[in-house]
Amino acid sequence: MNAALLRYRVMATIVGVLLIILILIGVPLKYLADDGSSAQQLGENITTYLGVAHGWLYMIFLVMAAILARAARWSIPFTITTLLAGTIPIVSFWAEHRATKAVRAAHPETV
Amino acid sequence: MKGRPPLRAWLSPGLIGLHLLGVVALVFCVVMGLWQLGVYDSRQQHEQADKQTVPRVGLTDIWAADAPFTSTLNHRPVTIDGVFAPADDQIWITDKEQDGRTGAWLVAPVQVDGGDTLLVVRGWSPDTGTFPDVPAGAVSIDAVLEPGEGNAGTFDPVDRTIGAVRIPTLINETPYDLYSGFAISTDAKSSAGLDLVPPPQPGDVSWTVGLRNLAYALQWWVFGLFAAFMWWRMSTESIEASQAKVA
Repeated sequence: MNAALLRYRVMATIVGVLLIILILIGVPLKYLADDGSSAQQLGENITTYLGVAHGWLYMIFLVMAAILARAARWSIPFTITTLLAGTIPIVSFWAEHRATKAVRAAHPETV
Repeated sequence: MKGRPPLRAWLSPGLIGLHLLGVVALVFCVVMGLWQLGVYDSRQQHEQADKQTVPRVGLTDIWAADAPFTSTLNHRPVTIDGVFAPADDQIWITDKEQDGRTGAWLVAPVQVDGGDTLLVVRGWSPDTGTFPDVPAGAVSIDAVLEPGEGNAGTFDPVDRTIGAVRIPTLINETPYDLYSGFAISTDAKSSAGLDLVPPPQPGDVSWTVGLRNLAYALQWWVFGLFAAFMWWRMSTESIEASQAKVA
């Protein structure tokens, strides 16, 4: 359980941070900065490379979350909301916090 | 002994919602993937259109003597300023099909002003034989650059025929310092009355143009598979749990 929780939390953190950079920094730069400016180019690079990388990392996150969900016997609604919350910037951290709390409450032996 | 759960266990009210969610997620992922694939296709088409509308430039402005043939030169429309080499230095490139008939390309070396000698395809002829005259004096030819061909076979020094525009072979058969590619003339002035050879369309748009969208398309479909897998597992587990309660 400890290992599953740790893997889930690591992936949730990575994906959560990348999502914030991608959506809250990269996308506004790409579409709001002046065309041809270096800020706009940075936004273009972030959305191109980070966008694709984030997609694959999100898959790993999904698998880790699914493994934890099974180990911790989460209910179906709890599992689905935890998986989907990973797609929303900032909310993903709240979901990770909620999931960690739920696992620790149900399995006091986890650290 | 665990029996197979009855079909109606799959249709319990709690599971119907899960089925709907599974279908929605799967359809959503497939549609998003198709959409991204469409974006990838349109990016490829734009790139292709861009390549076809590059402005015509002077040959020596983009291709220095002794420089290699790079991908930016491929299918590039240029204007060649220079002088034709003597008519007897021309070459027939055999087995070239045009309009469903087999014939030959007439290739002439053109000494480019301020550059090396460029092999220029003047036109297509149904048969080889005596070489037509070359235009005299300074000429300006509109043409499209092409990379040298391979698999030439041997050069026939009597008829001056060869099976392909293979620069490494032809460099030994002509007294000139040749460019490492050739040009297909689109200029009727220098075709000696032969049919012009239509230059190949630039179709070599790299598959990596719009790669981000192709990657997104694949990702959406993998997400779809994952959604299907999760739906299956949640359904079977929840049925098993309810069966256990009944038993």
